[in-house]
Amino acid sequence: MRLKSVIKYNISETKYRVLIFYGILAAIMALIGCSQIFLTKEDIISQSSGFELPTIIFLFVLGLNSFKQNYLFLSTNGITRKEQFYGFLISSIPIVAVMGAIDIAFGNILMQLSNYNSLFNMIYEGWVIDTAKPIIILVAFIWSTVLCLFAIVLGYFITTSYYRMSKMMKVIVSIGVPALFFNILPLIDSVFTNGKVLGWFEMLFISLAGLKNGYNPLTGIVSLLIGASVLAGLAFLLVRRAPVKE
Amino acid sequence: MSYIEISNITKTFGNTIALDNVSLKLDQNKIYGLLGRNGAGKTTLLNLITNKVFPTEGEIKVDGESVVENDKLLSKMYFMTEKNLYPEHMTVKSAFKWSKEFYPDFDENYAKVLSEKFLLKNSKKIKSLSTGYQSIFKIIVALSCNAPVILLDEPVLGLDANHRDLFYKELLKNYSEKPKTIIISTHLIEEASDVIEDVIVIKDGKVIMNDSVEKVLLQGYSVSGTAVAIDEFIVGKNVLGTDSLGGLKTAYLLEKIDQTTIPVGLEVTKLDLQKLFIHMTNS
Repeated sequence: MRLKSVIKYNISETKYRVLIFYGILAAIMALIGCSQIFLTKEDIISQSSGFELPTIIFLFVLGLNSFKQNYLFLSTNGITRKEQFYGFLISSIPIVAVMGAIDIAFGNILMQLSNYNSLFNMIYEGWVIDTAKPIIILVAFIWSTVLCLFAIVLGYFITTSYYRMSKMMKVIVSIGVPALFFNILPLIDSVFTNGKVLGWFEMLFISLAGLKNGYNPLTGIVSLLIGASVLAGLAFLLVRRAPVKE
Repeated sequence: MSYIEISNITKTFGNTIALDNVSLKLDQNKIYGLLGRNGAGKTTLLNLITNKVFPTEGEIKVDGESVVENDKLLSKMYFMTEKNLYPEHMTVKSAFKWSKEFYPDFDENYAKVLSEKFLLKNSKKIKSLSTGYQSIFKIIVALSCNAPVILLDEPVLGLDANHRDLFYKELLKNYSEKPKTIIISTHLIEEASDVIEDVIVIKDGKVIMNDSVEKVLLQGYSVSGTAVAIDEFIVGKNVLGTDSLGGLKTAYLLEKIDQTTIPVGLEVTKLDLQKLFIHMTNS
C-alpha cells in the first residue's frame, strides 16, 4: 500500500496554495482593519462578517483542481484509483481541520478587536446567545470543518464528473444545469406552481441547516457530513473506472 | 509459466476497435519490441497492461494475478508514456524525489549519474524541457525506478543520434546488471532491432507476429550485387522489396536460404527487420 505516499503528495501539493491563500486573506483583513479604525474616527459604525466564505470558496476551487493533474501523475507512478481516492479524502481531513481551526481562531480574535461577526454566529444566532463560549468555539470548529469538507468534496465530485463526461455531455451540463436552476425552474415555479417549488427548496435548506425549529447547529453538521459522504460515494463510483486520458 | 498473460483482450473506443481479441504470453526478464504502424493499437495495449484503461473484454495477468486495481502489481511496473503526464510546476529534481516515494527501489544516485550523462538539468521544470529532454527525463525515471517491468512508449522520441545511442547502451547495461521485463514500442525498428530479443507486431488491433528476432530474421535474407544479377536472381522468388544505388541493388527475400543457389558475385546478409515489418504491415 502506497496510501501514505499519496497522502504525503496531496498535502505537499496543497500546502503552498493554502499559505498563499492565507497570505492574501491576511492582507485583505489588515486593509479592512485599517479602514475600520479610520472610519470609527469619523463616527461611522462599521461591521465586518463572514470571513469563512473565502475559505469555503477556496476549498471548493481546490477540490475542482484536485483530480486531473494528480490523477495523471499518480497513475504514471502506478497508484491505483482506489488509493488515489482514499488519499484525496484522508489528506483533505487535516487540510479542512486546520483551515477550519484557523477560521475560528481568526474569527474570535477579530471579534475581540473589532465589530466582527462570524458566519456561524450569524446563522445560529439564537443558539449562540444561550450557549457557553467554549461550547460555541468547539461546535463552530466542527461545523466549519465539516462545511469545508463538504466544499472540497463538492469540487472534487464536479471535476470527476466532468472528467468522465463526453464533450457533448460537458456542454449540455454546463449550460443545462445553470439554466434549469436559474431560468427554467423559477419560470415554471412562478407561472405554474405559484412559488411552491422554490419554497420547498428553501424549506429543505432551512431544515438541513437545522433552522426549522429554532437553531440547531448539530443538524447542520450531520446534514453536511451526509452530503459530503454522498458526494464522496458518487465521486468514488466515477473514479473507480476512470480511464487515463492523456 | 509466462510472466505477463494477455488473454483475449478486446478494446473498443466507440465504434473503433483498437485491439481485437489479442492474446499474448510474455516471459520474465526479456526485452520485447512492440511494433506496429500508427494507430495499430500499441499504446492501447501498454495502457491495458498497466491498467490505465480497462479492457472491453478479456483479462491481463501479471505473475498470475489480474492487473485491475492491483496495487502490488502496479507498483512493480513503470510505464513511460509518450506524453508528459507530470504536473506543470514539477522540476526534474522533485520528480525524482516523488519517484523515490512511489517506487521505493528508485535509485536517486543512478538517476543523477544518468542526468549528467544525458546533460539533463535537474533544476528545470519538466514542462519547460524540449521534446527530446522530456523523453530523456522519462527514460531516466524508467531506468532508475528498478521496477521488474518497464514499458517504454516511443522512448527515443525527439532524441538526437548521440542520445539515442547512449539510451540503447544504458538500457542494455541496466538490463544486464538488473534483468527485467522490458517492452519497447517504437517506430525506429532498425535501431531497436539490436536491443530487442522478441518482436510483437500488431496490425489493425491484431497480433500478426510474436517471435524471437533471431527466428524472424531466419525467415528470409538480403542479397546484394549488381542490378542485373539481382534482377535475374529474384525472378520467381518472394521479394519483400529492393533498394538500388547506382548499379548496385539489394533485394530482401522472405524465404529460406539455399546457399547452393546463390550465384557467385552476390553477397548474402541477414534479413532487414524494418523491411519485413513494412512488408507485413502494408495494407
